[in-house]
Order: sequence, then C-alpha cells, then structure tokens
Amino acid sequence: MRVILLILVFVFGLMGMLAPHGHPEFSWQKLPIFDLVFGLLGCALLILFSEALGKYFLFRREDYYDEP
Amino acid sequence: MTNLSVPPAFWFFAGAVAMLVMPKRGRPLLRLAIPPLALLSLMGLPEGRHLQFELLGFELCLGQVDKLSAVFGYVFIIIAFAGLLYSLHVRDDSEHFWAMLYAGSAIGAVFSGDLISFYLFWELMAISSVFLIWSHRTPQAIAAGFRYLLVHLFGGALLLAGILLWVHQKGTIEFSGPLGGGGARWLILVSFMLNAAVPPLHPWLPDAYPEASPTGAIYLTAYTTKASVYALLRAFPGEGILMWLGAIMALYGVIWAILQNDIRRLLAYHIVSQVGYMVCGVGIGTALSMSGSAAHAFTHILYKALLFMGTGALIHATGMRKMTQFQGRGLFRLLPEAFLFYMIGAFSISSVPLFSGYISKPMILEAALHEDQEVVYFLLHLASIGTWLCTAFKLPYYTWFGEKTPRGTLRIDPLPLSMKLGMAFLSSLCVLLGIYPSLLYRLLPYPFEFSPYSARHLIDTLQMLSASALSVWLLLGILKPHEGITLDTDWLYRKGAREFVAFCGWLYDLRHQIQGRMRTLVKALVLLSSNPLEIPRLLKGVAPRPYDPDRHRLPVGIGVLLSVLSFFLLSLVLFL
Repeated sequence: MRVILLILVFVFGLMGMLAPHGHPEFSWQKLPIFDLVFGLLGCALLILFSEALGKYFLFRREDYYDEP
Repeated sequence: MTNLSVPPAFWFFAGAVAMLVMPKRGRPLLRLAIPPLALLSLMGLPEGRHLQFELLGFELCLGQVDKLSAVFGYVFIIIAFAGLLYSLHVRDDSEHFWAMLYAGSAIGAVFSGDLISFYLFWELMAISSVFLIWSHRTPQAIAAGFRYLLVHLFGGALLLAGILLWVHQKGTIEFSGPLGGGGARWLILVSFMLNAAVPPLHPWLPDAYPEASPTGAIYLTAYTTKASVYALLRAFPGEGILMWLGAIMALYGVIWAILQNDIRRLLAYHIVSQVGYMVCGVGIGTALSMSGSAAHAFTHILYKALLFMGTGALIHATGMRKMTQFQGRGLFRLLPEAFLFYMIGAFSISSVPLFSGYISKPMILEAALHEDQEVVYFLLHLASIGTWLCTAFKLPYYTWFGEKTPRGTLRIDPLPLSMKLGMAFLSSLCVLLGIYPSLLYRLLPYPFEFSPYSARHLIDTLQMLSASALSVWLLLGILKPHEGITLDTDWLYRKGAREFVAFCGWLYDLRHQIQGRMRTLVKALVLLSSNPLEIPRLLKGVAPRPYDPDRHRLPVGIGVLLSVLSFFLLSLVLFL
C-alpha cells in the first residue's frame, strides 16, 4: 500500500510539473507541486495537532458525565 | 405535468396520518409513495408565491417557489425517499410517523414565504426530530434527546423573539429576501446559527445524532442543519461574520472528528465541518459561493446519509458502535457490501474526482480565492484534508480491518434487503452527480461559471489526495482509536452547569455564615448600648446584668453636688 501511494504521489507530482498552469492569481499557485506538499505536511500537522489536543486537554473516561 | 396544487409538505403530513389508520400490510407501500407524490406537486408549482391565505390579518404563504427553495425541496424529498426505503424493514410505525412529520416540516419551512409559518414548521422540526432520537430507546438516547430538545427550544425561543421584534419594527411578516438592519436580525441570525451547529452552539449535534436509531439518524443528518443553511442563504447572504465562522467551523469539526471512537459521532463531527463550508459560502456572498453552498448542501445530504447508512448497517448487524470494539474482528469478510457503499460515501465527502463532493466543495474554495480570501481558502483546504484522512482512512481501517490478530469472529445479523437498496440508491446518485455535474448545476439558484474537471484542478486535487493519503499511512499508528470521550462545549451545560449549581450552593452557605456573624454582632451591640456600665464585667467575661435603676443609676446627691460645683465654677469665671 505504501509503495502504491508513493508511486501515485510521484506520478501526480510529475503530471503537475508537466501540465501548464492557466492563470496563476497567487504566487503559490505557480508552484507545480504545491498541493502535494500542502497535502503531505497539512495532513501530518492535523494528525499531530489534534492528537496532542486530545491527549493533553480533551480525552475523558467514558463515564465522565455520569459521575456525580 | 399534472398540477397537484398543494404544498409538497402536505403529502408528508397526510401520509403520516393516513399510515396510522390504514391496515398494517399496506403501510410500507404508502410510505414509499409519499415522496414521489411530493416531487410531482413540487414540479407542478411554477416559480412565484402560491397558496397564500389570510389568517388573523396576516398574509401567510405556504408555497414560495424560486430556484433557491426548489433545490432544497428536491433534495429533501429525495432523501426522504432514501430514508424510507432504507428503513422499510422497521416494524416500529411510530418511527416512520415522526420521520414523515420531520421531513414534512423541513420541506414546509423551505417553502414558507412568511415568518409565521416558517417559525411553526421550524418548531415542528425540533419536536418531531427528538422522537427519532428517542426511537432508539436506550437510556443514553433518552438523555441525549432531552438535551437536544432543551437546546432547540431555546433556539426556537430566540427565533420567536426575533420574529416578534422584526414584525413590530417593520410591520411585515414576508420572508423572501435578506433581513437587513435592526436588533431583531441578530436574534434570528443566532437561532439559525444554533440550528446550523455553528461553534460554540454546535455540541447538540454530535451529542444527539449518534444516539438515534440506525434508521432514524438518516433523516437527522439531512434536515435540521441544511434547513438552516437554506434560511441563512435566504436571509443573510454576504454576512461577513459567517465567512469566518464557517471556515473555523470546517476545521473545528475535523479536529474533533479525528479524536472520536464512536463511528457515528465521528461522522457527526464531519457534519459540523461540512456545514462549515456551506456557512462560509453564505458569508462570502458571491453568486459562485452561494450556489456552491446550495450545491454542497445537495451533495452533502446524499453522501452523509449514505455514510450514516453504512455505519448504521454495522450497528444493526453487530449491535456495536465503537472502533475499539470492531477493530481486528475481520468485519470486512462479514459485511463487505456495507464497506463498499460506505467507501462511495467517503470518496464523495472527500471530493475525490468522479464522486459528488468533487463538483460542489471546490466551488466554495474557488469563490474564496476570487474574493482574495486566502486565509479562508487555506482553512477550508486543510479541513478537506482532515475529512479525507478521517472518513476514508481512520474509520474504515479501524472498523473493517484493523490489526492482524483477530479477536474472535463476530456473530452478525444479516442485513435486510431494504438497507442494501437504500445504500445502493444513494451510492448511484453520488456517482451520477460526480460524473454529470450539470444535472445539479442547472438547479442552482445563482448564475456562475465553474468547471470542476479542468486539468489543473484535477491534478491539484489528485496531488493533495495522494500526498495526504501517504502521510496518513505513515502515521496510522498515531490515529489508533482510544476508549473514552472528548470534551466539547456541551461541558458547559452538562458539567459546568452542575459546577455552577454547586458554586451557588457555596455562595448561599457563605451568605448564611455572614448573616449569622452579623446577627451575633448586632446582638452584642444591642447589649452594649442598652447598658454601657456593664462593659467592665463584659470584658472580664462575666455575663452582663440587665439595666436596673436601683443598681446602675448614680445617687441623687452626686447630681446635686455636681450642679452646685458647676455653678460655683461659672460664677468664678464670670465675676473674677
């Protein structure tokens, strides 16, 4: 699965390099693999941030609201 | 087209009542016949204001048909059909009764052309939906239902107050365009935001929806929040605060969703997130963004119901509801069809090309960019990564697959045909819309130009999806579900309120103590002022004696002596 995903990432990255960009309105749109990097980092950031938030602030026992 | 000139909602109310009186055998057929009849009556109504009549001097209107109300009307009717098909095997007629009433009231609210009938349908929606939560008949469902009802009655009271103020200020009850100016609109806006589950007013949703019965939850996912999106589109287009709240809401929903263990609670947080996109689209306020909100409401209703159907099928078959219970039990071999249909919903919600979300969500993101709202764009973009990782990876992996050591196989009830048909129906709609976006685009209320399948957009989407999939796969261990629950703002009324009552008790005790001290002090002062001559005794710790003229008054002779002395002194001063 990891290998398949790696190949896919590579293929779509390459396609991004080759495909012409229409009319970039923003500087980051000129980067052909911007969404690739954003997806990779954004996803890791989201997972780590929310798990940390859960661990330090949000997780409670199942019967938390039933306690007197 | 035959013109059945009754409001589309009428068929649901009539059907609910007719079902109670007709023989049991005919009821399933009757239920399935209602949505097509409603669809016919909607198609028979041309644009304009129909079915108007006067009541107590007010002009009511039950058939305000324009492109905005029609697109919501269509999807509400379609999802009623899907829900009734999915729950065809359910013998509990009360659930069907409330479901039809709920669908009818949501459709009624959408076509209301005046604030009074809108309000009545709005409240009926709250009341009928709570019975769908209670239809699961577990203690948790009963408790969550009561909390849900209290929150919605509060929201209804806000709406009523807003409407009364509005009518008082403006003298009209017409509800056809934006509500501008005055304090009344803020009351109405907050009540709409409460029903749209905008944080921090959202926790009723992930609290109550996962407690409903597997079949009842389907209707819940569709109506209340999306009727609010409709109301916001009609009354508050371009309201700047909604853009920011929506963007934050989209991200908030996915962050909390990542932490859930209950499969339907995870999906419920994704409703919060997805409605965030729609609310944001309303706030941006351009034709593209608002058509995007309507389109996203349309596709969202279909795929979210499909996701709840897939997970509802698991709950129906196994009686379990948490990932920590399912994990590693080889559920994929037992319920592959539920997995397949669920994944079609998951691909749709994650806006994978060729699935329905792909044609609606990017409209809102594109509109944010057109308005130079880069921050909003990135918030929404990040939220869509969270949707993808949660619904397409975390939930299915830890539910159907999980670790390789099986913990003994499960005993499962076979899925009824009706459930499979309901899922197949919605799956085909999700794929159909993904392939032929024009089917939906021609229904949308405001003119726009957007083509989802441009090469650049397609490649960018595929890059984002594949890269974040790789990222999830590497971090899948961290995503492992935990036992337990997460805190949310409902802490304020579930625990905080209890703490507040305890604080009030403490405050009461404090007052009591201060009062007691003050009373002792006053008593002592009374004692002292009644007889200051006893102070020496009091200081020695001996009980003071009450005033007695014979003991405490000075002898008369001393008084005479003192006055003679003072006369003497006075004469000395005056005459010498």
